[in-house]
Amino acid sequence: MTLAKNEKIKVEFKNVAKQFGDRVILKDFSLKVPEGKTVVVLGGSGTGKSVSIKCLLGLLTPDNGDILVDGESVINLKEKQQYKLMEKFGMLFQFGALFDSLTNWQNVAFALLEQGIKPAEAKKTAIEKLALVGLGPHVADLMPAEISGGMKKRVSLARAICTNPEIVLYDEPTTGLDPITADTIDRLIVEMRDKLNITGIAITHDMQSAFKIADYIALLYQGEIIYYDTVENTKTTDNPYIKQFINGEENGPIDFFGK
Amino acid sequence: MRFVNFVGEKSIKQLNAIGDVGLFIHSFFVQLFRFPIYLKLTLRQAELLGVNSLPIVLLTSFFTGAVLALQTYHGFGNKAFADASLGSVVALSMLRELGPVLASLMVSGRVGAAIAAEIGTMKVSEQIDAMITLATNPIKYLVVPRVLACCIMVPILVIIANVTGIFGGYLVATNMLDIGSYSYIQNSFSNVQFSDIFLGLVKALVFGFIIGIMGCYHGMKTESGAEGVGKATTTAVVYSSVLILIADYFVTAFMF
Repeated sequence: MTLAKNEKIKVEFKNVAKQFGDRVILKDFSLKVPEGKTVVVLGGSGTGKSVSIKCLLGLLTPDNGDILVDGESVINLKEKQQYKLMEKFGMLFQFGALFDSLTNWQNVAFALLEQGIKPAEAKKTAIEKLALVGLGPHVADLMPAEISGGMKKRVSLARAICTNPEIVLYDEPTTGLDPITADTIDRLIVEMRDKLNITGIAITHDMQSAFKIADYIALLYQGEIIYYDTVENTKTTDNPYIKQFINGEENGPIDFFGK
Repeated sequence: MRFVNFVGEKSIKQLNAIGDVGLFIHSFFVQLFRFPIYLKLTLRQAELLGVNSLPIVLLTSFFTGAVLALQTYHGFGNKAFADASLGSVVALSMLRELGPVLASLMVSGRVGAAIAAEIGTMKVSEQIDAMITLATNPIKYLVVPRVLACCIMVPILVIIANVTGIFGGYLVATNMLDIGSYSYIQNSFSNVQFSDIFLGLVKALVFGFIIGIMGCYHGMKTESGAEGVGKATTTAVVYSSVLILIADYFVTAFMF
């Protein structure tokens, strides 16, 4: 697939490879993410979706290839540049990854507090962000252990957008949530893209959610992106791999267990 | 051939681990002198790790001092010897050796494990990754306050352990062994020099550093779920205890 010409590329993976010991996770991972769009990367469990995101965030270093953000390489940055780069990113972790020694508002405002913003002011911003994800101010003073899984994910989403990042990464945003809460999260992701022009990369295997939030859909299989197209085209595609994935069929060209 | 292979593999693994700890300590010192300084977090850790270890340290050191007096008395089986030197034997042993080592071992079991478990849980639930994505260095935010708290609190605990141990010895000597209170106290202090106390405190500082670094290092290296956290906790305690005993020898050998 070729992206429309006028689209600015925000994030680009170029032939990224990563292996752990003898296990090859990413073989030749290439992906272009246009600015202000959400790309959903599909793939079975253990196909390296999370690894690709961790490479982008500098939590892992690829063995080969390059990753560009705004046209500049983000591989092997010095510590200071790395933390500077992080200000462009927000990340929604699969299980929220809230700091359990801090209250919800301290979690949301963590980056602000670290920047030296006064607690009273930071708390105000945190409550605003919590309202954005549909949580009332009473949640602010509770601890993460005192709220439900779905609420944790929303708090985590509020934390991810608290410093107005340009790029937000979603690691299985709806996995493990009931359909209604999942829909709320999906709506929030779409809203964030439309209102704040956030570039999103989501990894998931929840097809319903993928169709709701995505502008583009990519399929990761055996360490490579084997399919990449707009969401409209994906709905009608006859690509056997993506069809097997969408329909959730055990038999087909994709062989997760064969190896 | 297989044996050589095995030995080689193990050696490389161990050397790698030592190098890794070295790098970890290096980044600790780099972050130590960098702003911002988390005074509040450090004090909070000092309270959690230090103040809360007080009961266990008091108990162990009291009974150590007491048994030391008993053992020395019965071991030499000589009233004249006991009158002349029991006080200084107890005081010197406590100050130079038993106070620092036993208090640190107790603290390593309690605090080293707690640190490794807490940081390990944060690691496996992706909280450490989350912290990095929020542009905060986990070494600065988590490791520095904990190691500093250990370096401050272990020496303080050791001072308290020394006093309690000597008091335990005193109680046994005067109440059970029929040694005069005045002569025991005088005997205790006549042979103690400032360097004895100083040696004990240098040891305490080194041990505190070991406990903090080992707890944090193994916590940060935790992998794969609850089992990983358990493993990290055990490893942290085992390594810090062994390293405390090894460091104990070298500090003693180098300083006297």
